[in-house]
Order: sequence, then C-alpha cells, then structure tokens
Amino acid sequence: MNSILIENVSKNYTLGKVEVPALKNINLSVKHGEIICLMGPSGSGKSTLLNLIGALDSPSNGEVHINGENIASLTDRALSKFRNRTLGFIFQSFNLIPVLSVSENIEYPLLMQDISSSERKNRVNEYIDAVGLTPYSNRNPDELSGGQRQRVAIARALATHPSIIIADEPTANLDHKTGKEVMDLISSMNKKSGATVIFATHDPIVSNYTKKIIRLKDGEISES
Amino acid sequence: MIIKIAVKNIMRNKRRTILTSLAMILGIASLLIFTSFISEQMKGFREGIIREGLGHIQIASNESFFSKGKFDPSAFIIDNSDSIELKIKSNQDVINVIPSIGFSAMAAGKNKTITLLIKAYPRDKIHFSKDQNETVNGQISPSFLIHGNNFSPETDEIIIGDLAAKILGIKCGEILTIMSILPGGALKASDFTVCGIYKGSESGKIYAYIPYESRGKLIDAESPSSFTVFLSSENQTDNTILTLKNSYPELSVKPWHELADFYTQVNGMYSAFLKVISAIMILVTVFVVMNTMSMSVFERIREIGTMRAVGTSRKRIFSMLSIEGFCLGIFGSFVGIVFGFLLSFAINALGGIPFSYDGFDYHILISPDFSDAIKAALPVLFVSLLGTLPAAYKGSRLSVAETLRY
Repeated sequence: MNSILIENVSKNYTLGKVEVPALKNINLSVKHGEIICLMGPSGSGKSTLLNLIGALDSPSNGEVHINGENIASLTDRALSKFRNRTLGFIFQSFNLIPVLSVSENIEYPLLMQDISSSERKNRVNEYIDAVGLTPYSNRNPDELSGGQRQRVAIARALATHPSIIIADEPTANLDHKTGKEVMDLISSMNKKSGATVIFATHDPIVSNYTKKIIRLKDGEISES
Repeated sequence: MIIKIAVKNIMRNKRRTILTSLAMILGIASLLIFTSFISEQMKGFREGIIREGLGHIQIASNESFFSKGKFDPSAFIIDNSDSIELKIKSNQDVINVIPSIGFSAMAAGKNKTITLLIKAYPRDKIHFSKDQNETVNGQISPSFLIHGNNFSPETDEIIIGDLAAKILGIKCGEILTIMSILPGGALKASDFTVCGIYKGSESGKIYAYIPYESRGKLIDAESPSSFTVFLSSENQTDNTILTLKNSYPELSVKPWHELADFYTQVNGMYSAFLKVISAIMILVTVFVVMNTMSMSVFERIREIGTMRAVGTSRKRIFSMLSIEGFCLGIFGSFVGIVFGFLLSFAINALGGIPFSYDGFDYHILISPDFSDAIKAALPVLFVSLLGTLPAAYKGSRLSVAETLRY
C-alpha cells in the first residue's frame, strides 16, 4: 500500500487577476518507509507539493491520498487531528514556539493526543535524549544555536510517532557540518521508526541520504 | 499549556502589555474614584434631605397632602394621631416619629410684611446644628444656625431664615408678629420671639420654624397633618413602608426618595454622567485591546501557522488568543482596582476632595467599596474579551500554508 498517492494534482495561485500555476498535473506515489527527495530550483513547486502532502493546503484539481485517506474529504478539525497523528514537520526556519522551552516545544503536539501525562513526559525525555539536548531541555529556542533548534524541531516531529515526516529545506539555514549532523540524525531516526520521509531541498547533502530523487521544474515532474 | 502560552505571550512584549493595561488601569481607577466621589456626595445629600425634614418615611392622611397640603393643613389633619404615633413607635426599626404641621402666615417686621411658610415640629424633636461638623441623628435638623439658639422650653419662639430676617429687619431676641388666616376667614395672630436665624438653601429662606406645641396660637389644629418617621437604618425603609401600609391602609405612606424630586434629578444626572464615562472607557478599552491583539496576531502569523501544522485546531487557536485578551483584561482590571484603592487612600491622606455646597466647604473622603470595584472592572473585563474576538477569529481562520510562508 502506498503511503502517499498523488493523482492528477494541479495547484494554481491567484495573483491579482492572474492565475499562476504552481503545480501541473502531478502524479506520484510513495511507499511506506521510503525516503524521497524533491529537488528543483526556486519556484519549481517543491514547497507547494510538500504543503499538499502535509495537508496544509488543498489542490486546485486532483486528489491527494495519505495512508489511503483522501485529505480533501476531511473537515478542518479532522485535518488538524490527521496532521497531529500522521505527519511530522521539519521546517527550514525551525518554526519553534518561542515562548516555550525545548521540552515544552516537543511536548506541545503530544498534548493533542490521547496519552497520559507520564507517558508524555517519558516521550519528551526520550526524544530530547535522542537528539542530544537533555542539558538544554529548559532553555528557550532563542538560547540555542541553529543546529540545536533544528534538533528540537526533529524531536518535535518524531515524538508524535508520525508515519510520514515532511522536511522542507531542513539544512538550508545550517552550516555544512551541522547540516550533515542533522541529516545523520533524521536518517538514523527514520531507520528506527520506519516512517516515510519526504525532503524538499536544494542541498546536495540531503540527496545523498535518499534513494529516490524527484526533480521538479516549472510545476512539473521532470525526472524521477 | 494553552493558558501558559497565552500568559507567556502577554509577557513577551512587555511595553505593549503595559501600555494596553495602562489604558484599562487608568480607566478603572478613575471610574472607581469618580463613582466613589459621587456616591459619597449623594450619601451626604441623601442624609441631608432625610435630616432636613423628610425623614425616612412620610405619613399623611392622603396622597393629595404631598401636592396640596404641606402648607394648607385644614383638609389633611390626621385623626387618632396619638394612637397612630404610639403604634408606629412600637416598630423595632423606628427610632423616632415626629408629628408636624405646616401652614402659611404673614410676618410683620420693622420694615416689611412678608409671607412665611411655617413648619411646626415638637421642640425636642427639631435641632438646628451650629456648625457643619455637628451631626444630628433621628431628629429634624433643617440647617445651621448662624445666630441665636434652638428652641428653649415653654416659650413661643420662632427660628427664621437669614434672608427673611434681613427683609424683615429683625434680629435674634426681637419680637415678630405672626398672623394666619383660618379656613373660615378669621385671623389669628401672636407674637413670637426670634430665638435663631438659620442659613437656608434658596427655597428655605422663606421658611420658618415654630414649636409644635405653639401651633394653637396661629392655627386651629389639634392633630398633625403629617408624621416624619426616622428609622435605625435607611435599608429598613422598604420593609417598614410595607408594614406601615398594611397597618394603615387609609393613610398615605411614602419613602423619602419619592418626595425628593431634586435628589432624584441630581442622582439621575450623575448616573447618566457615569454611564457616559463608562461608555467612553469601554470604547477606549475595546479599541486598545483590538489594536494590541491585531498586532499580536500579525506578528505571530508564522507561529500560529506552525501550531496549526502540528495539529492545533482552529478552535484551540481561537481559545488561545481569546484567553490572551482575557488575561490582559484580568491583569488590567486587577491592577486598576488596586491602583484605584491606593489612589483613594492617597486622596484621603491628603484630606479628601474639596467640595463647596451652599456656602460651606467640605472635604469628601473617598471610600470605594468592593462592589464599586467589581462594577468598574467587569465591563472592562468583558470588553477586553470582546476586543480580542476579531483578532482571535482572524488568527484562527488563517490559511496554514500562507501563514508558513510569512
């Protein structure tokens, strides 16, 4: 069974009175546990495709099925729950909640799951430890380096035990060494969890960690 | 966690939170002081009206007395007044029952003859205070004596207003001839010694007071035309009215406030004024909170997008932002109340708010009570939540993909 199935998907944005196509008739399937990489120049549609896979946006045409579920059929409430249970996000700018500490950031999505307080605490500690940030658990994001912040974002994305991890330019704001460390971490955690991982990136380091690369150009798949 | 995030977000931009709260704090504190000032002023006014002659309750033979009979008693004499007086006195909340009668009469002075409106009260139940600090409870105390003394026992004396004394050219200790016309047209006249001159209000300057015991020298009335009832507490007025109305259905029993037209007008004017000030404060709070929350949402669009991406529902985002505005309201209201109380202590420590009335200078002490504070804070609390709703709604309806692009 496919983890992700995209059928005839197009996405248009309206700029003033002009309709701009961002994705054109995309068809894609990703199997469970696969690691794929979306590559392409700026404006090629990588982030738009990731947003559709991440149930953050809806297609203008076509259907997006995640774990067999057509996301267009879900209400906002169901979509929120779906994102919380099924998907883990890692963003280019880390996107941590600045008023929460490292442990609270990791705990935040767990609050929306039906798990006990003690289980939640155990899960938070397990993932803080896994990303090597135990000494920083009470620090706020603005007291961490870029690499450390991305580690928190990875821990947050994985702590909910998602079946799909979506990482949009995860190394773009990091230096080469830190980027490599982050990719090592995502790769090793993927091996443990068996989750499907989708990267969107320009970074050749990222492509080294994936077996399947999908190249996008002008909103179309040019090579896969 | 949602409350924690809301509170932390409030503390995040301290300057903006302080400025927003300051609008609420100043609004609540000033409203609290102003409400308390008016309340104290109206309390003094109310007590004055009760003391000057209305008492807590007025009892007359019928309803028309209050419009026609105050100074034309012939048709309004109360029958069996002694037994009625005794029965009313037996009520546990009643501290004094004062019979009285009012009539008009001519007063001939050295230079002129004028018409006086005379009120007769038992000499032991009327007491003019000698200065504004002398308090009189449970007795008629129309005003302040500026010359002379209160009634002495067993003498036909009169106390007149300062303007009347001036027009008549009469001083304390001099004799004033008073003449009244009886219902049949006959005249009745008698000499009264002016024992005191009081400082009256504008309308009070043509009033004069004689002992109830001397009424027979001027009118033929064995009984009073009204009773003034003083109670142990003003709060007992409504209950006692009910009891008296049940006991004496044939009499007209009225609470003081139904007869104090000027008080009612002033009270109404102040209430309207307070409502206008409250409305202005509420509007300011709504706009300040709306502005603050709009800015707060705008600055956190990406953050809201992240929260939505990791599974936060619109409802939860809406709740979080609403709680933020509500917490701001709670903070502003709480500090506003505390500041209002501190300000009132400071004003009182400096001697109170100076106030002049009828030629006398007073210092009104501010004593806001908790109910005043709640009345001032509740609307602010409510509108701070209300002012948050548009921003909270907008924040919760943002497209996740768009917010993440910010």
